Amino acid sequence: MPELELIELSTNDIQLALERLGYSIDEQGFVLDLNKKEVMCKYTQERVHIKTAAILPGSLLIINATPLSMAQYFLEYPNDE
Amino acid sequence: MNEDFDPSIEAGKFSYGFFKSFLEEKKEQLISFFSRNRVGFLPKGCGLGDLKNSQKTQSFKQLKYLIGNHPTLPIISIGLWINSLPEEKQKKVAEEIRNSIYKMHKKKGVSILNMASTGFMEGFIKFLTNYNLKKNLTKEELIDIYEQSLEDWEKISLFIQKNHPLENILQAIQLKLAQGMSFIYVFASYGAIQTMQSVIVQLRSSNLLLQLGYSFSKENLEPKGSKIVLIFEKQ
Repeated sequence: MPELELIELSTNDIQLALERLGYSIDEQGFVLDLNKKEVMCKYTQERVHIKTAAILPGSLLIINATPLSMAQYFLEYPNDE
Repeated sequence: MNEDFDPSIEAGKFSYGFFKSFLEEKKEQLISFFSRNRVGFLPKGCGLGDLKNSQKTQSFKQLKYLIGNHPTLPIISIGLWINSLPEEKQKKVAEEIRNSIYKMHKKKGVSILNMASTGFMEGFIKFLTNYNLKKNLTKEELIDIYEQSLEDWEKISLFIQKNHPLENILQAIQLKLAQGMSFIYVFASYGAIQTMQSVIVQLRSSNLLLQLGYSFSKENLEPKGSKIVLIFEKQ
């Protein structure tokens, strides 16, 4: 399996990518899904904010990128399996 | 070599290329884009992409082998990642994430951060590996030592400073040992190593350890010997 490539993008570009996927951003900067419901980070259990939003492979995950959530993500989706 | 070549700009073009491909992708292919290309997007400046490398280190794999899928593994990988950062950044990063780690993993999580920010993460894993080999422990026994060390980390660890008088250090070690814990870890780095050598000489020539029922061993935490730890074990 090829190495996972993680690309850092500006907030504007992340927003552009999310909008392309059908997501939107509310007035406070929280990410909303296709049904206009707030997206919850599966690791931090908090609402995903555009300033910290990460888009990752694995049935398409939208999470808050923090050291803890990313460490949990890498454990759940190891590159070498 | 092309004098105009700037790796950061080239890397930027490469990343932007991926992003551009994503934007140009057909609508029905968008969701699978990330899995097909093994690519993810992170917020600019977060620096978290390198964290995945910590889970590829021998130390991490070794600990996972020893304790299995323990709930503290994500923090261990954060600890190893912190250890891989430049020394002047380590304490700052550990400080920034201390609260969120405490919220989810309480004292044990913070102990791992403390180990990481003092450069002992790999040394601790090395110690557990060697101890396991020496004692031929079951996985449950080893997990118990691992968890107990994290729980008691503040009580069982001591950091020697360069300017600490020898008598004070010996007294501090004696106080730690008098608590009767199974293990005590005493660290020294750079300028404090000379002091540590004097501590070792004093300990060997006194009967303090015999009286309190401890033996000790010395481990180098870095190949050049600029960080060492004395591990006292209750007999």
